[in-house]
Amino acid sequence: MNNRKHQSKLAILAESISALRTIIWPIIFIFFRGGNSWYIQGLIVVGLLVLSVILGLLNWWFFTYQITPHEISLTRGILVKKQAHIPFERVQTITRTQPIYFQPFHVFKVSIETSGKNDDKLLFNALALNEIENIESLRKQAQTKRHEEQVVNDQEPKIDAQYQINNRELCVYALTSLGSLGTIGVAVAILTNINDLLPNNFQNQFNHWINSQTVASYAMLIAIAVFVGFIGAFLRLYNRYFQFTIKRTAAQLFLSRGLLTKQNVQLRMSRIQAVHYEQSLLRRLVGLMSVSVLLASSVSNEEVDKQTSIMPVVKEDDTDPVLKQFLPDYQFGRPQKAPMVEKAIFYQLRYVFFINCAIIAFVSVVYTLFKTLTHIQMPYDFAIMSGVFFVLLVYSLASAYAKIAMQAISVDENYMIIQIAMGFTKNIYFIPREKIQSFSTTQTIFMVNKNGQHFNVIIRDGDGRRQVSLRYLDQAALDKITNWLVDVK
Amino acid sequence: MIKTNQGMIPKDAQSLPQSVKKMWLLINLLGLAVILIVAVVINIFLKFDWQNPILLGLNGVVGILLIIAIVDIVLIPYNYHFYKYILNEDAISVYKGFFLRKSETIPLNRIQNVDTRQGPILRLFHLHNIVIVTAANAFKIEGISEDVAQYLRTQLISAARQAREVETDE
Repeated sequence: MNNRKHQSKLAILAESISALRTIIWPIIFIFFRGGNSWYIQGLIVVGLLVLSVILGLLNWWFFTYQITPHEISLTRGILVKKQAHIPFERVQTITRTQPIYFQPFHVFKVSIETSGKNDDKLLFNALALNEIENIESLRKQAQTKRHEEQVVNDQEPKIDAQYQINNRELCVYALTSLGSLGTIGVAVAILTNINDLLPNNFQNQFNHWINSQTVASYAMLIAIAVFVGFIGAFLRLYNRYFQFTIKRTAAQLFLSRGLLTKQNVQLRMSRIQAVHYEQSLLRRLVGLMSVSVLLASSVSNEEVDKQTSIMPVVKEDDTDPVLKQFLPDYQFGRPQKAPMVEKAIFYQLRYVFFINCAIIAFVSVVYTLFKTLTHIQMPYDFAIMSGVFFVLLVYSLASAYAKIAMQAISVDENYMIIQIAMGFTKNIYFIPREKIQSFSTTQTIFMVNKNGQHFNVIIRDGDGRRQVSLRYLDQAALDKITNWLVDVK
Repeated sequence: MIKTNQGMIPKDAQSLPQSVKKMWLLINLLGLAVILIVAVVINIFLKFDWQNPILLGLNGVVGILLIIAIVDIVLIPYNYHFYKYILNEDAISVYKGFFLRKSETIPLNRIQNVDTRQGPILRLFHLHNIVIVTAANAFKIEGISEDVAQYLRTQLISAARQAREVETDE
């Protein structure tokens, strides 16, 4: 059994960088305590680089893998040996990512996931293209039923449907993103941190310059910051979803995207738990939708970018027909207004109002206590707090109204379609009946006479769950839905 | 027909065995004892110095925990009376509460596996927890007697096996 292989040598680079990341923090601390001459500092830097390269080399050397016709196995670890095996039948998604500096070498980062629950996935830092293709074809063989084998045999798989993102729509999508505000936040945070690291005289100059500016130039500065943040967010989204393409062959979906870092995902349609449309208020004005799928996977939801986008942006009117080509079994209609109890809007507004009152009362009491105990005086505190409370109240009442107004549900033979509002963002879920894992209803004693119930549907998302909730549904209508849900096929 | 409204909890819904009340009481008393011991140890450690804001804060927290534990004990008959479960031919449901009502239902063909669990306190009362696991979440029926647990488990597993749709693709 000596046909175990190492990854491409580029993996040494990736391993070194990740080793550098783990050991750099204590070093930075030592570095900035100061007191060392530049000579010693240089030595530290060189030592750090050498150490991380050595660690990277060791990690690479002890990371071996083996591909047999039935499974892929992986051994890693310097002191503690870890082994993982995944049979090809159980592979569910294969994701390959290619950062720009990998592109000349035809290697990819690869992650292979199953639908198990305990984070069981294989992660390769750098794998050559022919190895990946080998894995993909072995998986296809393992997951193809025998009687189909003769048909599929050897010929290029037929592409049943293909869709590529439209460049103009991508631009509009990136422009209507609110992420720019986040980018500004990051920029401000970096600037204020840099401020502490700069030499004193420079800092003084900077402060002097800041203090001598007029209101107009402050406004200018803020405008520039917003603009830069905006551009940053635009480029980030544009880069991420550049030339987003989705293809379907039989029951497999292939996604590819990215300008600088290219990413490529293969997934089995049977693993899709639900299809999710999302449309923020801004995007509703420009008539664009985003579509993603909820997958059963072994990777926890906390990981960034876990949501699997299958169409980052598409014209609202095109969404259903285009998607139908990729998910032919799904019914993409619009749900009907949810059957709610009378005055549901009033109840929801009243509920949110009381919650807000409780929060306001609590904050006010704590603040007053704090003020009397510490004798700290804040100028205009009453005015500021009233303003904040007012904005909070108006926002939450408006979103409560939107929540009830947008609630919708319908069921047909095999699918449940639910529309809910999160803030002012419209969300529509298309859920096959057998993917609804369980449901619950809640009500307070005050709702009993009104025959009202809140209704929660639980579906799998990643290795956890997602709950979709409708409020103040009418009892009789809800009974019909729940009977549909438990009806065993 | 499944009625989700607990105002209309099905007549044949099962209650938990009476001994659950004793078990909940024991668990709560143990919790109460632990809180009290911790509180006394902290106070001895900080020399009963009630001027010390840290100790004052900690004692405040202990007080709140004590109130919660006592309220829990007082509410045992209430919780017991409104805790019902029912196994139908296509789903299993649990009902809880009267003022704040909740019902949870799992259709039988979504069940992945069924566990029974028994810790030392449950063993003392010859009770079991039965945990029903789906692909997304797990839900628990607390404290049912041994033979009922076995019966439920075999029922659920055989129902789930019959109802399980065969996953096919490609």
